[in-house]
Amino acid sequence: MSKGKELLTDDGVTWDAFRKGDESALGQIAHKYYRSLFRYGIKFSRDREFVKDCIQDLYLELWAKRESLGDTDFVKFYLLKSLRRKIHRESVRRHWAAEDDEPNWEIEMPVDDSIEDRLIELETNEAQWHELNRELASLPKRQQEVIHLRFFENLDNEAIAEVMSISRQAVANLIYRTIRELRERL
Amino acid sequence: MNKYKDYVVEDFVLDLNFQNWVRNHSPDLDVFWENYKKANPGQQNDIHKARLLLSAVYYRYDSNISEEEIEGEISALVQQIRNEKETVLLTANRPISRSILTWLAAAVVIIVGGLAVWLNLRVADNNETALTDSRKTLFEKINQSNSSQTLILEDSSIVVLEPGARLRMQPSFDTDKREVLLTGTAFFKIRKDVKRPFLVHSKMLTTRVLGTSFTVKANRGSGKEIIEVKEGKVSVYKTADFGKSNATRESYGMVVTSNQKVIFDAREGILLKALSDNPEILPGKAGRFQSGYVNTPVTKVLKDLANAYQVDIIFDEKLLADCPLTATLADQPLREKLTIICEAIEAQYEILDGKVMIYGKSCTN
Repeated sequence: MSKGKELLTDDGVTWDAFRKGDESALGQIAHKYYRSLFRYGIKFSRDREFVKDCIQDLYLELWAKRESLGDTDFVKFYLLKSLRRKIHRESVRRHWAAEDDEPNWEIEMPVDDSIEDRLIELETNEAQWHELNRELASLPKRQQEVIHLRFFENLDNEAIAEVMSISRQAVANLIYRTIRELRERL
Repeated sequence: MNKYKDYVVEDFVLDLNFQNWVRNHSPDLDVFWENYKKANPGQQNDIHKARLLLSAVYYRYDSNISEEEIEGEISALVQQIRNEKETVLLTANRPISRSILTWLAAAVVIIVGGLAVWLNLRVADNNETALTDSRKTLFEKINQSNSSQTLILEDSSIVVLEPGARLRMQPSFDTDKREVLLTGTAFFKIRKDVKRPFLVHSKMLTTRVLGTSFTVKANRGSGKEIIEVKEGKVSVYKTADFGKSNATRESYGMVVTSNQKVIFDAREGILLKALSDNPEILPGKAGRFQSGYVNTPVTKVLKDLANAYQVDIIFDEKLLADCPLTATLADQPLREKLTIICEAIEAQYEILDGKVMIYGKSCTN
């Protein structure tokens, strides 16, 4: 298992403490990945509290399994994958989704507060910026998910493939197609 | 030497160092990339595009969750595990499985509140309560810590004792009933067993369930007990009446269902049924409230509402038959939803005996 390649050697001590049953070590680990999990999970449901509940359950499961867990190098990958599955399963249970539905990827429009400074910094104009944003929003769900995992979570193609249950080659294709489509808008 | 020499947009956006620059704006990386652009003018355009592309992704895909919110979640997590560690296993060798944790998370279903002090149990002299026959051998657990403690009973039912709460019971349950005595505040998640009802005796009330979950809040000095049901159904009796024969018991007991509560005031000596303070939609019943209603007969809306909250809503179906409603009924509390509906059809509502009464008029003219 060399998935994720998220080498956390400096976390080795925390990880060992966690596996020995130190709940504050779990707290530290949970904190480290919380933002990543939330940012990913909220794409599948707009219900913040629901996503937070799923994350809590996930960490409790991690705690319950602590003794049988391996090294830390695939924690993030493992958590992202588990969260994706859990949210889907819970949504099915609550009749929000059908068993064989693809997980529903959806992003809320961010609040445009002070994009002017950003536009100057990026040497672009509003029209181009909005064009790019529209393009991002209209990408097929899988493409959006792939670039989220790649750009935000820095997962490699193999890990992304595992998380999304598709082939590594499919991930590579999706990433390149997405970047190509986006750069055409620039 | 220069690993970026042949990079184009695609390569830059996938480069970790480049991503960090766009994402985190660190001064070090700013200097590096500004210098790089000056030294490699041929790549300026690609760098510009890659940066723009990544910025859009980071901008669009970010989700805000505050540090406080995260801290709150983490401390709740750690606290829950600490509570679990203090769990007393009343039955040997019963592992605390993960499913129990899930139970707890999904649990708070009935809240029983009020005062419950164990004085002499009124039932001491009748055979309904075997508990008192063997008082010496009663198992007793008092939570003297500052946080809640979880007990798992021999039937796999769960009791979470709040600080100061005291639970007493026989070392093992009877074959025909499961009984506990409680002082203070506790949460119960009862494993279903139709043959052995579960009885929680508090000072003034006895709550009888077949299988469901609830919290008993029972603190000294209020002179009141409240039993609040979020999901499921329980029967509540005045403890003084509980031991009486089945024939008469019916008239003293009261069935409390989802989103209702019963208040017992010691001074008045009567059980009063009311709607919960904040009724909640039951799991799996969210139904149509996600989307709202357009020109829907109000009678249908009221039925949906009754179904989602499992609350009785009484109205004159013929009278309101032609009243259409257009409204979004998603996130408001039940009372607010009722207000919105009533305003739209010029009606009033009242909560009586744990039920919602709608007083309206015909919309046909």
